[in-house]
Amino acid sequence: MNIHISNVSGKSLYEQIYTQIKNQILDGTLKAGEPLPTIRGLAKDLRISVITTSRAYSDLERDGYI
Amino acid sequence: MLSIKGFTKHYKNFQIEDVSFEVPDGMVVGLIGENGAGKSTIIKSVLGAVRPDCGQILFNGAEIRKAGKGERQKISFVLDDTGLPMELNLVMLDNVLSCIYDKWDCAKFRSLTQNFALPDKKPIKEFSKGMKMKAAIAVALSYDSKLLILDEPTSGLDPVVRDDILEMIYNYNKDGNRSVLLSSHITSDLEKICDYIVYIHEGRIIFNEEKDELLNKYAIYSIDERQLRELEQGAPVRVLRREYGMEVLAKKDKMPQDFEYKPVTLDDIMLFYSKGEEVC
Repeated sequence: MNIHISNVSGKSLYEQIYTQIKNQILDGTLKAGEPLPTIRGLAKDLRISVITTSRAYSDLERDGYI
Repeated sequence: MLSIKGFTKHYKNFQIEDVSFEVPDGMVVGLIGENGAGKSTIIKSVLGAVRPDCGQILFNGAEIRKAGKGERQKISFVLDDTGLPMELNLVMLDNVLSCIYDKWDCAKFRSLTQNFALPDKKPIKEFSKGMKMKAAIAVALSYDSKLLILDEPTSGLDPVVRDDILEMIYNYNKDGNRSVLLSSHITSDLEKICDYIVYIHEGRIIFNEEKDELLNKYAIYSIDERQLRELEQGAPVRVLRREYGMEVLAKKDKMPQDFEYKPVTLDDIMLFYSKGEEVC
């Protein structure tokens, strides 16, 4: 899984993560049953806060993607 | 986990006024501020080395000053000057600390010091600065604590060692039930690892915010006086005037969309607050 974030895109970080994971699920890059990175693992990797990654994950959960 | 309420301390030439913030469970909180802003005083007060004139410091809901040995050993700490006994080597240190701490983990201490390639038999006074800091961190991580406090853990160290140290801090709270409070003026390190940032300036809290939101909220704009006057009230926060122009720290969502901007770093924010002029 690849996630790329940008701090000049004008979109908030959690939106960027949300959209990228959603798109990867929809286009089949991410398959059902495949484990996602942990909230902390992803935060560390992207050098962002766990609050941001957990917000993205809970929105994905709310919308039924994960 | 840790909550500081109304912390006030007066010294002759310096005071800390009404500082309140929290270190929530599982979070990493970074204290930033210039040298002498009060970061170390606040950290020392959590460790009981400084008594506040006013205010409370609560660890898991109970006042830390009255905490017994068992509670205190749930906090591990790394201070600026490491505080390790310089004459001892690591084998001796291991023996001494296993008598002091109820939950000392010899195996963990050995594996950490081996990972760091620290020599066993050399007295600590012969260690380099980076090695001393790594040893102090190995000590702090070798008993089962819930809160890790670090005062300037990365200052004076090279980027590779700093990265090793950040990695250890990350591993410490990987499972999300331990918290970290750290101070540093190497703000790029804090940008990498913190969930919340508390900025202390001249003994007061300027802000206490979620890191990503903070860095996303503000941006730097190069504009001129006329443009500055026409901005929406509350959009610009601080102005740095230079001889041939000016830069403004402003809230992105209140600024005109077609203005070009630079993303901010914590360094920029500190600089604007300490050297810039307030915009009213």
